[in-house]
Parts: sequence; structure tokens; C-alpha cells
Amino acid sequence: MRAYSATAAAAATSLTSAAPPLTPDAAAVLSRAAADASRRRHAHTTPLHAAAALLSGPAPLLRDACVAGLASPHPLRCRALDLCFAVALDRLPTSTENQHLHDGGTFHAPPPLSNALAAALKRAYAHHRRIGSGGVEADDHRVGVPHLVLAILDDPSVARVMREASFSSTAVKAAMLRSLSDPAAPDSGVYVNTRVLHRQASHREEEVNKVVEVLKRGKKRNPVLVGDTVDVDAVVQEVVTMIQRQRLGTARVISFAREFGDLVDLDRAELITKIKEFGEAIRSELLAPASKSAGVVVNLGNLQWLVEERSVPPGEQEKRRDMVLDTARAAVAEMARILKQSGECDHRVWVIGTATCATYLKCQVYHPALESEWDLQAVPITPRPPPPPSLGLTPSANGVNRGILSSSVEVLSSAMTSAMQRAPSLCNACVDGYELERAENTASPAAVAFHPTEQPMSQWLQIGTPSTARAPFDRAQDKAREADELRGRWLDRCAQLHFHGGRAPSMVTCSEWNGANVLGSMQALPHAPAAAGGVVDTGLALGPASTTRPACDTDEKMLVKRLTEAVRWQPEAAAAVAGTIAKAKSGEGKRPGMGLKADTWILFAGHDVAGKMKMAEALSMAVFGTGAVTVRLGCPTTGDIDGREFIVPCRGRTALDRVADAIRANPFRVIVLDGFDQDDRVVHASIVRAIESGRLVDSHGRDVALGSAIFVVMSPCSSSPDDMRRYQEEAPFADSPWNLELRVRQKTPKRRPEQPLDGGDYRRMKPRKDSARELLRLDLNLSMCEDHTDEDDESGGEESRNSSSDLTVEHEHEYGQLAAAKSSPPSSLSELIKIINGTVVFKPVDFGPLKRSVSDVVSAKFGDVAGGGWSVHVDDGVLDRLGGAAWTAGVSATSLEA
Amino acid sequence: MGIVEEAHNLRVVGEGKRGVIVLAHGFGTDQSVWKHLVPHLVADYRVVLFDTMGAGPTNPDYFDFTRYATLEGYAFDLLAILQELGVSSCIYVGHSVSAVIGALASISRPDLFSKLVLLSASPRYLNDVDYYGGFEQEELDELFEAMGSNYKAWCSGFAPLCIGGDMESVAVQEFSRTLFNIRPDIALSVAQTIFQSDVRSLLPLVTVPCHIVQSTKDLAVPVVVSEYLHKHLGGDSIVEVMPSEGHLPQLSSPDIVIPVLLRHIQRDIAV
Repeated sequence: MRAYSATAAAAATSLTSAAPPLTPDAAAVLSRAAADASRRRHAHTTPLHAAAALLSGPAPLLRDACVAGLASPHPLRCRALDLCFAVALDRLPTSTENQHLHDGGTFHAPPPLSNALAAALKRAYAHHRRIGSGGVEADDHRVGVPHLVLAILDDPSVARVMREASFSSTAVKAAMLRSLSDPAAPDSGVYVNTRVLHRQASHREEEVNKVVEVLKRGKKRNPVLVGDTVDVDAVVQEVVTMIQRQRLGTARVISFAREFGDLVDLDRAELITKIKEFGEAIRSELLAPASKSAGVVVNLGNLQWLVEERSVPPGEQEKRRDMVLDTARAAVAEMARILKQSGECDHRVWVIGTATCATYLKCQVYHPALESEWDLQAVPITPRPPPPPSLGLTPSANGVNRGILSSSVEVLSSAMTSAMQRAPSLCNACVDGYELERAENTASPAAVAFHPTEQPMSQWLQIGTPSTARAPFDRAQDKAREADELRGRWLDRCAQLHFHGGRAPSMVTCSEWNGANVLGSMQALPHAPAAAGGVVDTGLALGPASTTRPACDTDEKMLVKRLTEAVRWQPEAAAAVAGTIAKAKSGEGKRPGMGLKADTWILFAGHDVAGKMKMAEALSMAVFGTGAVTVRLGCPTTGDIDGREFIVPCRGRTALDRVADAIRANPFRVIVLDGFDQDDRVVHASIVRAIESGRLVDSHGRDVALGSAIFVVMSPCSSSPDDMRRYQEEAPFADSPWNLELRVRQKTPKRRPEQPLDGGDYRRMKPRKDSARELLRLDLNLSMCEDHTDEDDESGGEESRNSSSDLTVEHEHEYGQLAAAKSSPPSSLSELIKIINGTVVFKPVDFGPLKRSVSDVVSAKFGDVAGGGWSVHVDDGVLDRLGGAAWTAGVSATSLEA
Repeated sequence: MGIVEEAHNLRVVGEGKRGVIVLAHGFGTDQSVWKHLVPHLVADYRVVLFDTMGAGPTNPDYFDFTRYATLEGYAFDLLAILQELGVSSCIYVGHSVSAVIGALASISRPDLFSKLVLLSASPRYLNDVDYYGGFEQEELDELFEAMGSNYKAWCSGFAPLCIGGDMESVAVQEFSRTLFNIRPDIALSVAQTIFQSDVRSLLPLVTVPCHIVQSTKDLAVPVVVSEYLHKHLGGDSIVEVMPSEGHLPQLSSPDIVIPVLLRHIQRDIAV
């Protein structure tokens, strides 16, 4: 023993020379650590030695901090810590160099400091400079034991050993910091019986005094104690006891609950009667000749009965609400009358009530006159202070209700904010995530969730595990702390991922957010969208907003809604598109070996050209907030039509170059590839490669990343072979010039009754050739066009060429059967279908109603022109075309009529 | 006055410079059980007296049945008291169950205890294989049942049994009084906790020097138990069996016990 102390002294000198200046205590710790290392024949003095020395030393600093860092201290836990450190030290390799030391009895210099310990000393010095000497001596510039403890706790090897002993070094460090920052506060309370803490006299005294102050006032002298039931009941009890002991004069206390039972359980029908009886009781009490009391304090108990019934099941509560409130209002008035009357005859009556914050708020809402009529003063009762162990972690739950009741306005505002501020600066997606995770935490078994560090205790420690005595309270607190930490984590995450602050978020509408969320799993923007021109910065929230399924589901619904709004006649297709997008963005679209795939490819099949274009446009607006761009792969002649942006092919630029340009211009939009199936093999192969690799190579060999773009490939056919054939048959006809003819004949109502032009049977209406009595035969091609323009400014003859839809109406279609599997579309297309994210088949449009309305309108117009004697019959072929043109132009039948 | 002080009726007497002595009473009594010892200590020590939770003078509302379902709850109380008083080191004199409580507390905070004087202590009251504690489970069950059915009757029977003297002795009267002061349900709970406790496995963890002092004839603690303690305690220990009778010798035989206790308090175990 004596020999060791010699070593220690030597160690101390050698150590202090190398390290920052230490207080004698700290130096002693290091000496003991060095002595220990020497005894164990270790090559270095490590942080483990230092920690063990701190634990075993006379100063219980680390030990106290360990206990304080625990939710529920166990006398054996510290013992476990000792053992774990002992084992860890035993495991350290012994040094051969020092082997002879003990045999010879001579002592060399103690083992030198390990790098880790030297680093810890430096940290200790930094701690010292940062937080000072913990109130010891202000001008002490030496590193003390507390700083050493803090530094040692940061050491990974020490943290590991502490973890083995079920201690969290961070929690211990927090406790340590707390004791440092407030040296006056001892760690008392760590071991204290919570029931004792609960009755903290000094704390209650203050509140009791507050209540008494109110009682003594002239106005607003009836206190309502607002706070948690346990707290307010304790205070009321103390006040009542004080009054009964006549410390406040000779007033007496009448408790309603004692006389008639708890008000909240009272039958509503009896309520008024009871209150009247109670009033009588008060009066007789006051007027009783024997009574010398200066007044009566009426203890009404909890005011919950003013706003709700307890005995009624929640379902019925709604129905009975009016009745409950009416009776309560009557009771309020009755009680007010009693108070007033009693006040007149020189005897004083006080009322004491209690309420939870929520109840009191409701009272204020439903009984606005209550405060004035009863002369009430709300007295906030703060929850009892939390036990010290958790102080270091500052549970926010305690702050919520503290002293918020000084005025009604404050009550309301703070109650409202407390309800809403669960996650104040979290964006919607993160709030969802946070709530979800919190729900998971709450759902998991309490012990595991809230005392994760306490579970792994070795067998001998489990004998007599401390009772769950502190459990309910601690658990509630841990819960709050847990939720708090969780929220902190989400706040961090949110701040990292999403753009907060600045003007952008305020500009983003709800739907745009949701649109952005659809792209949930997209990587954060590498660069701002270049050509977003005027559009809301869609990039602002494209972080991994939430990859959780529920968020995606809501986003999907939102997207479906927006797409359906845009293309009302294709609800199924809208749902399919949204589903495909959501699926692709939620991470199912993984490219083998390439990580997450951000670009999405969808094939729009079917003949509803207008619907498909509108769908693409709406999709782009919904997801990116910017319009879609269309690249025509096949047809060389395109122009800017009805305001939509088209990429016009230029000389020397292939279709691929145009696609690449479109991507470069803005990768955050929907790019429509039109005329794909007519295209040559080169383009097709390039696009297939692009889908597979995520990069598109243009004709110059430059490649461009597809980014987050959504590519919509337009296929005019649905993928069933029948449709294909029909389309090919009819295409030439669609391209033929308009040959319109106007035949005028006399009105012959008998022979030709108007037949319905609905889709079901219009096929039977063959153009009638019975125009024997025709009087005029004019080529009205030109005038027809004019007419058409009159009715619809937007549709031009040129465009109608594209309207193949009018030709497909006759066919029976099955919607939504994705044909890839069961049919054989053109090979280029089928190959594509396999690798893209999804195919959406657009249902053919039923043109019956439209054509009928066109027919009606045309008939009416021509009828006007021609005069009453002429009936106008529009040939079906013409009708088809007119209808098709109108449809493609995006005009509904109703607007055509206008 | 701090909350802990108030809850435990904490009293600190004496201005002695030789250190702090904490006196902890056992089941069925309160701090008054030390009345014969305290006068001998006040000159040299600061003497800390308190009532353990559940004892007659404490507020029954503070008695948390879950917390005090194991002896650790009491050990926490003890540590809380020491912390409240800012005691950094003390001589702990514990009687009966409080002796064990002190030992438990010392496992957690050996730095707070310079030595433990264990009077009539037992790590386990039930007999076991290779262990003689003095009680069979059936006897205990009967005892608990008697306590539950008629506490007053049980008290009047248990007190003389425990003290080991005749019914009329002052000590028996005194013990009956303090015993009956306890709320019956609390008394039953405490008795169950004590008699069903088994801290044998924890004894090796006690490193503070222990002075084991007991009566020759003790209903609750056979002499072999002291031997067992001596053998299994982790630190140094010494046993002294006094020629006294009963489980509360400091009350019933102060003439014998007080000098012995003083000797153990004042002197350390020779190395």
C-alpha cells in the first residue's frame, strides 16, 4: 500500500507536468489512475483507469452524477458500474516491459498517459475554460475534478463500459453539467420518496397563500383553482383545513360534495333543486342564531359539472349537451342569486372551486357570465416541481401549464398554442413522421420504451429491483422527455431536409406541398430549376419529405383529386396515373445497382388525345407546379398550338436532341414524348437505354441525367391489337381534308322525325340519301370553317386533323386491362412497356352527347340563318369531325353551346 | 425545514466533533428506541435520529406501498436523509431491519459510511437449505394472518415475545405502544416485506466494515445468523454476542447493550 502511494506521488508530478494545471483533487485522481495502471502492469494510463479512480475515490462526484442521470436509482447499479470498470480494466493487455516492476520492488515512472487520456485532459481544460470552476473559486485556473469527469465521460471507451453497466454517459454528463451550473442545488431528491416530494410544503404554502389572498379581497374574491386535479385538490384541502382551524377568522366551510354528493354525478333534473336546497342550507347556516361565524366558504369542488356530465357515455354526451348546458346555466344563475342575497345581509359568502385548465376554458366559453356573476378569480396552480433527476434534460411538459392563468385571455391563447405547438416549426410531412414515431413509442411496452437503459441487468442485480414506486410519475415524465427528444430529432431532420425560413414556404400552397411530397423520395435538388420562370420554386421542398407510406397515401389521394379535376372524364386513368407516380416515388422504382431512380416513365395509351395531353399537363402542374413540355419524336411539322409549349424540331437536331434539350431546360416537369411508336429504332433504343440507365445520350454523344422528370410516352393506341389495327385503318381518313357540304331541303317533319343521337344507336343512322327534293347544293367547306370559328375561337381546322378520337367512338373498349401481358402490341412498344413504371390506358370518350349538342347548335344556327321553313340535318360524318375538333380543342359541349 | 426532514421527523442532536452517527430504528419502533444510547453520544458526535417511513410518527400518506415493498425503498430514504443533511461520512447504527437497510445503502454509496454497527440484523428470516433463519413459511403465514385479522391483539402478543421479557416490563409497554402506533395495513405490509426479504446474495457487496452485535437469545435472529453475516459480508466484520435477551436489547437491557454499542462505535476493527 505504502509503495503505491509513492508511485502515486511520482505519477502526480509526472502527470501534472504534462497536463494542464490540475487541482490537488484532480491530480490525486490521476495519480490513483496511474497507480492502478501500474499495479495492473498496463502500458498506459487510460481513461478507463481514470474513470475507475473517479468512481472509487473519496469524491463521489461521478457516482452522484451517475445516480442523478438515472430515472430510478438502484443501489446496486453503481456497484454494477464498478464491476464493469473492473472487468474492462482486467481485459486491457498487460505490458511485458513492466513485468519486473513488482518482483524487484523498485518502481519506475508510472505508465505514461495514453493518447486518449491526454485528449481527455485537453477536453477537461476546455470544459474548465467554458464553464468555469463550478462555483469553487472563480479565479481558479486549474482543472478540477468536475471537468475531469465531464471529459472522461466523453471518452468512447468509458462510454462503452458505462453502457455495459446500463448507464448512459450522455445522461450522466447532463446531470453533471447541471450540478456544475447550479452548485447550490444538491442532488437531494434522487433518493427521496416521491410522495414526500409531492407534498413539498414550501411549494404548497405559496399557492395556499395566493388563494387566501384572493379570499381576503373585496372584489373577485372567489378563487377557482385551475390546474391538475391532484394539485388543486391538495391546495384546496390545505386551504379548507386552514379555514376550519380558524386561522382565517371564524368562517366556516360548507362542502357541496359532502352535503349532496359530487355535482358532476348529480342527475341533471335534480340539479336546480339541489342548488336551491344548498342555498337554503347556506342561508340557515348564516342566519342561525347560534352561529357566530363571520361567513361561509362554499366549497363547490370541481366545476366540471358546468360543462359536462361524467356518468354519461361519450356517445350520448353530444345529444345531451344542450340540456346539460341549459341546466348548468340555470344553476349558474341560481348560485349567483344565492351569492348576491347572502352578500346583502352582511354575511359574507365565498365560493371555492377547482377546474382543470380545459374545464375552465369551457366554462368561459359556455358560461361567459360566470366569472362576473360569481365574482370569480382564477388562481393557477402550478404542477409540483419535477424531481431533480430529470432536470438536466429539461422536460418541456412542465413548462406548459405554468402560471398561464393570470388572465382569461392568456388562458385561452396559451391553451390554444399549447394544443397547436406540438411541433411548431415542423413541416407537414415531418409532423406526420413525428406523430407516427411518437405513436409507435407510446404503443411499445412502457418499460422497454421508457427505460431502455435499465433493462439489461444481470441476474444478481435483479433481485429486489427497486419497486415501481416512482413509476407512474417518472414514466409520465420520461414520456414527456421522450416525446421532446423525439421532436427535437424531427426538428433537426426537418431543418436539414426542408427549406425553412425565407419567403418560399409562405408562398407554397397546400396542394403544392402535397405535390412536392409525392416526390417524397427524390433526392434534394442538385441545382435550382433553370427555366422555372415565374412558377413557384418547386424545388424548395423536394427533400426526402417523407418516405413513410401514410404520407404517400395522402399525397396520392391529393394527386388523384387534382388530376381528376383536370380531366374529369377519365377518373380511372387519373387514379392509375397517381398510383403509378406514387409507387415510383415511394422507392419501388429501383434501378438495379443504381440506387433510387428519380425519373418516372409512364405510357399513356388509348385514343383520348385531349385527355392524355390534359392529364400530362395536370400531372406536371400538380407534381412540379410547372407546365408540361411536349416533344414530338415523329412528325416534323408542329407548331405552337393553343398556348401549350411544344418543342419545334430544328434543322440538324434529332428527336433525341430535342428531348435532351427539354431535360436540360428544366428537369422538373413532365416531358411528353409524342409520336413515339412511329419512330425509328435508333430513337427507340436510345430511350430504352435512358430508362435503364437514368441518362439520355443525344446525337452529339453528350449525356444528360434524367433527374426527377416524369416522362409521358404518348401512344395513340391502347395496347390491344384490335385497336391498333383500327387506328391504322382510320388514320388516313383522319388526315384527309375536310369536304363539307351543305344540303338544304324542305322541312319534312312527317317523314323524318328527329332521332336521338346518342352513342348507343347513332350508328344505325346512316346518312340518308333520300334528298330527292334538294334545292341547293353548295360546297360549304370554307363557310363551315368560319362557322366553327365563330362558335369556338380556339379550334382551328389544322388541328382537327389530329383528332382521331372521333373515329374510335364506335368501338367497344375494355378499360384498364393493361395489355402488355395478354396482347401483342408493336414490338417497340411492348419492349418499352416492360421497363417503364406503368401504363395507363385512357378510356375512349363517348361522343354521343357532344355530337348531339354540336348537331343541335349547328341546326339552330343554320335554322336561324335559313329561316323557319328549313330543317337542318347535319351529316354524321361531319358531326364526328366537328365533335372531334371541338373535343381536341379542349372545349366541352356546354361551352360550345354558349 | 426540508421535506425529507419533515417526513422522517429528522432530529440532529449533539455538537460532537468526532463525526456523525446515524441511529436507525427497526420495525415496530421509532427513534425513541435509542433513548438510552443517545445521551452517551451527544458529547462526542452529531447524532442523527429519524423515523423510518411507516413508523408510528410518520405520515401514513407518505407510505408508498410499492416503494416500500422491498428494502431498497428504505435504503433510498436513508440516502436521501444523508444527502439532505449533507453528510459525507457517518457511523451508522442500525437495528434489526434498519441494519440491513444500512448495509444495502452502503453498497450503493460506500463513501457515505465509515462503518456499520448492525444490531440484531438478519439477512433472511426464513429457513432455507443450509441456512437457519429461525422461521418456517407456515409460521410467517400465521403471523401475517394474525396481524391482518386483529392487529391490536397481535401487538399485545408479539411485543412480549419480541422483547423476551414479562408482560409488565417497561420495555414491553414501550414496544407495544410504538407497535400499535403503526397503521395496521402499513404494519402488515412492512412485516411482510421484512420477513420475506432475503439479502444474502448482496452481503458480499458490502465493503464497509461491519460490527455485528446481537443478543444471546433473540426470537427473530438466531446466533448462527450473526456467524453467517460475518462469513459472508464483503468487508471486514466482527461479531459480538451480548448476554442479553430479546430482539430489542437496547430497550430491554440497556445496561448490557449500551456499553457494547459505545465500544463498537468508538473503536474500529483491529487490522
